[in-house]
Amino acid sequence: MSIRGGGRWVGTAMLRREDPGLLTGRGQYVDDVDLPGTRSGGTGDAPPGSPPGGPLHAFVVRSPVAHARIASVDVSGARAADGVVAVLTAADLDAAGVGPMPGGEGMPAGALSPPFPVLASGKVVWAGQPVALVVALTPALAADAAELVDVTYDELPAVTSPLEAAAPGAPVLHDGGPEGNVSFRARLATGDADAAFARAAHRVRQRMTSQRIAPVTLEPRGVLAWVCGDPRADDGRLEVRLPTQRPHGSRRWLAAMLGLPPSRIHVVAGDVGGAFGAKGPIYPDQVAVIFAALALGRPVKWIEERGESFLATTHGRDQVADLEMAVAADGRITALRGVVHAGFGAYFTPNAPGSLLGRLGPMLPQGYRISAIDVELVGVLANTPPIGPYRGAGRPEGAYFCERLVDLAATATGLDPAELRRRNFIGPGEFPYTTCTGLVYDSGDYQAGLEEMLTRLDRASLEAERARLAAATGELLGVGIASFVEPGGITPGAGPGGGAPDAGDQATVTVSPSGAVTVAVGTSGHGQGHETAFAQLAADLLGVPCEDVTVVFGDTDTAPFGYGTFGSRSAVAGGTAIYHACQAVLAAATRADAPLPVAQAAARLGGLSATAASGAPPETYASGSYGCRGGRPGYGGGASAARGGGRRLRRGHQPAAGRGPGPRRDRPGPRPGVVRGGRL
Amino acid sequence: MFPVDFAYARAGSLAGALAQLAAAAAAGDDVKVLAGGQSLLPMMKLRLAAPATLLDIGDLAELKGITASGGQLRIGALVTYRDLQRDPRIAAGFPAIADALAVLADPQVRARGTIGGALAHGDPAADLPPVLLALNARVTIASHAGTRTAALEDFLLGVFSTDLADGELITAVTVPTVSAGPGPAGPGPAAPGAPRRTGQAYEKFAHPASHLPLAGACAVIEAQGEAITGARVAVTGIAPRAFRIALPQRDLASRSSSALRAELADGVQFRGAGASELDAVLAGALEAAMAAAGAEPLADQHASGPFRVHLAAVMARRALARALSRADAPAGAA
Repeated sequence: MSIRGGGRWVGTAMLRREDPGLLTGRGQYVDDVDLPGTRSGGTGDAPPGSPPGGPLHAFVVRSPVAHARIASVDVSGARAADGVVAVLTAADLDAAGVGPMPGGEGMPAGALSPPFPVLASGKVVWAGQPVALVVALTPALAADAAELVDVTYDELPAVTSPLEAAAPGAPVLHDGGPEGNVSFRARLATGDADAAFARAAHRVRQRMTSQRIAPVTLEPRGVLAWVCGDPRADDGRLEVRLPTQRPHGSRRWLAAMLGLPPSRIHVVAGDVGGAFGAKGPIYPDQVAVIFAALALGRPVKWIEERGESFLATTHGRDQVADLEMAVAADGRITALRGVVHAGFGAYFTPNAPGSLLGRLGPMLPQGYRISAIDVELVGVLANTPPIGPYRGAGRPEGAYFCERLVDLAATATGLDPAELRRRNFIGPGEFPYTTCTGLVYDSGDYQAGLEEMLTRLDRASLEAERARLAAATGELLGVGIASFVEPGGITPGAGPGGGAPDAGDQATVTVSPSGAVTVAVGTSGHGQGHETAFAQLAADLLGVPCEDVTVVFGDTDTAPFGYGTFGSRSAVAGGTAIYHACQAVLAAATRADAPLPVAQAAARLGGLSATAASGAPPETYASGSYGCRGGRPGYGGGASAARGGGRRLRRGHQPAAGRGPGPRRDRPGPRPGVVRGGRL
Repeated sequence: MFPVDFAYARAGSLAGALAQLAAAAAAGDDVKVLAGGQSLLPMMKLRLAAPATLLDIGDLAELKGITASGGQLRIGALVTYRDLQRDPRIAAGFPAIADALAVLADPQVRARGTIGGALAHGDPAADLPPVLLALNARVTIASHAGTRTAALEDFLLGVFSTDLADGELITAVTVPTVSAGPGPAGPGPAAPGAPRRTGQAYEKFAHPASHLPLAGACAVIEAQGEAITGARVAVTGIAPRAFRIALPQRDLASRSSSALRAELADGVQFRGAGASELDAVLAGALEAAMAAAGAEPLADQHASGPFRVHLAAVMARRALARALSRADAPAGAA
C-alpha cells in the first residue's frame, strides 16, 4: 500500500482528537441521552411525577440461582405497583414471536447450540439470567417493583467449571446433546503426532488453566430504544442507542429477533466507554428493553448496574489445557498433542466459538516450526454467564499454553529457554509460512525480536546479580522470557473453514466542494482512537491535512456496512476499505483534469465520493518477545524496565518505570521489570 | 443501585438530633444516622439496608474537630479520614493511624468517611478499629438521657454490631497521647535511666478491589534500653470484630529488643524454610484470642478462615517490625 505525500500523518505521534471531549465530560454515552430523536417522550400522556420528555426505565429481574426449574412466575404484584408501565416475561415475548438470541457464529457441524431465550422460560441456567423485565416511570420505581416479581425456583445441581461440566454424570443444562454438556469436539490434526511422541527424546506435559474472568467496562452496558412512527408500517423506524462493537450486526440480529426488516431499525453506538470484547454480542436484557419500547411505543432506557456487570455481561477465558510437547534430543519441537476444554457458559454468544476454534487452537504452535499436532478442542456448556471473547480472545491463552510447554521443554533438555526458542523459531526466510494448524503467517523475524529483547534484558549482568543475591541473602531473582505470535484482521466468514470470503467491511470517503473530507467506515470504535488513526490514513492517502478529515462510524444510517470492531481487525479491514475508497476518490479526481489536489478537484466537480469494500484482507501476524526480571529497587540504575526504542511494540504496554525514584519501600522486594523486543 | 425510598432529616444541633433519636426509639421508628455515608449509602443502594429515615448529622459542630488536652486527643465523631490525615498531631504522634489512613479505601471515601461512622458501622474488616484498639481508645456516646464513655474494646460486639443503643450517637473518640502503661506483655527487664521509646505501626493485606483488609494488624511497642517493656497488637478482618491479642509475657519480654529485631527482620526477609518461632507465637495468640471469644474466623470467596489467620500473623509480625524500627529511630523519623 503506497501512501501519498510520504506518509506525513501515519506514524506521526499526535494527540487523539477524540480525547478532549471524552476527558472533559462531553462524551455522549447511552445514559447521557435523555430525549431521543424526534419524539418528546410525551408531556401530555405522561403520568404525574414522570420526568418531562424522558424515557421509561427498565429493571431486570434476574435468577438468583445458577440452575433451576422455574415453577412459577407471578408478576401481578409488580404490575400493580406505583409507576409501573409494564412487566414482561417470556410469555409476552413468546406471544410476540420475539427471539431467540443469536447463537454462536462458526459452530462446528453437529454442535449442541441450545436456543438462547431472551427471558428465561421453564428453566434458568445461570445466576443472573434475565427472567422478567419491569418498565416504570423511574429507575427507582422499576427497582422497587422488581422486588414484587415472585418467581419460584426448583433448584437443580449446578456445574460451573468446564472439566466438571464435561465429566460423565454432571448435571446437564440443556437437553438434546449427544454428550451431556459437551457441545462439540473439534480436532486439530496434522502429521503423525503419536509417532513423533514415540520417537521423542523428551516429552513434557502440563495442565494449564486460563481462569474465567469478568470484563468490566468503565461505561456499563445499557440501551435506549424508541420508535418513530410504527416500525411495522412503511414509515416507522425503531431507534436503538446501543453501546456495541457491532452496530450492523446488532441491527441484523434485532431484525431477525423482532421480525422487522433491517431497514426499519437504526442502531447508533455513540460513544462507547470500553468494550474489551464484551460489547460484541447483543444481550437478552437489551433485547427485552428494545422489545418493550417497540411494544409500548414509548422510549425505554436501561443501564446496567455494576453488580450486573459480573452477572449478566459475558465472561472471558475459562479454558483448561492438558497438553504435551514432544522434543528431540537437540531441542527441536516435533509435535504437540492433548486436549483443551473451553467453557462457554450457559449459552453461546456470536463471537464466542471463534476464540477457541479460530484463535486459541490454531495459534497453539505460535512461532515455532512444529510439523505435527493432534489437539482436541472441546466446547463445554456450564452454569456460568455466557463466555465471550475478551482481550485477545484465545490468543493470550494459546501463547501461554505453548510458552509454558516451551519452558518445560527447556528444563527437560537442559537448554537455555532462549536457545530452545532460537532453535525452533520459524526462520525469517521461511515466510509466508503455513503452520501445522493451517494458518499462513505473512511475515516475521522472530529471532530478531528475541535477540533485541535479550540485549535489553542484559542477561549476562542479570545472571551475575542472580548469583550474587543468592550467595549474599538467599533471595531468588526470577527471570522469565516469552514470545508470541498473534493474528489480527479477521473477517467473519473468511479464512480456513469459514466459508466464502465476502465483500467485507465498507468505507465511504466524501470530499465536499469546500475540501472537507468525511470518512464513514463500517468498523466501529469504542475508545481505541479510530477517529484519529483513520483520519491520519485518509489524510495521507488523499494528500490533505489531517484536520480536514472527519471520521464517522457506529451509526447504521451514516456508516456503510461493517462487521464491527473486535479481534484487532479495524486497521486491517476498515483501513483497507478506506484505502480503496480513497483510491477511487483519487481516480475520480484524476479523471476530472488531473493532476489536481483532491480538494480542488472536489471544488470543481461539486464534491467527490466513493464507497469501497475491504474484501477479505489476509490476516496479519504480529510477533514479539518479552522478558521479565525480578530485582531490587534501585537495581540497574533505578529502572528495571527499558522503554522501547526503534522497535517498540505495543505502546500501550509500556511500563511506567524509569521515571526517577519510585515511592519509598519499607521492605526490599522483587520489583518486576518488563522488556521486550520485536517488530510488527 | 436505587435505594428503597426513605425520608431524610437534617439535624440542626446535637440536642435536637438526640431528641429526634429518642423520639424515634420510643416510637420504634427505623432511623439511621447519616455521617459520611460511605458505608451506609452503598448498603442502601444494594438494598442490604432500607431505613425508613436518615438523620443527617453533618451540620453538628459539636461533633467536629480534634482537640488535645489532659494527655489525650479527642477526635470528634464527624472528623473525616482526610481531616485526620491532614492533622499534624496525628502524623507526629500516631503513625499507626497515619499508616491506616494511607491505605484506607480511596480518596473519595477518605474525604467523606468519618471516624465515628466507621466505629458505629461495626464492619469486621475496617482499618481503624485495630489501630484504635491498640491505642486504648475510648468512645464517647451521647443520648437524650446523658453521656457515657466506653472502651472501644467493649464497644465492638460483632459483625455490624456495636454497643450503640437506639437513641444513642457517638460524639467523639479519645486516644491517650502518652502510653497507657504496660500492655499485656507486662513489664520487662527495664533498664533504669534508659530513655523510654515507643513505636507503632499498622500493616494490612488488602483486597485489591475493595482495599478492605483480608487481614490487618496494628502493633504498639514500648522499649527501654534493650528491654521490651510492652507490646499491644490488635487485628482486623479475620473475625466478627477487630480484637486485641495477648502476647504472653515471656514471648516478648524475654526477648531483648535487638533479639526481637533480628527475629522480626529474619521473618520479613522471608528467609529460611520454616516459620519463625515468633510466627508460631503470634498465630497461637490469635487462635487463643478467637477461641476465648468463641469466634469463628471469617471466610468468603476471597480468603478462607485459616488463610486469614495466617495473614493476620504475618501482618502482626510486620507491624511489630515496623513499630520497633520506629521506636528505635531518632525522634521525628518515621
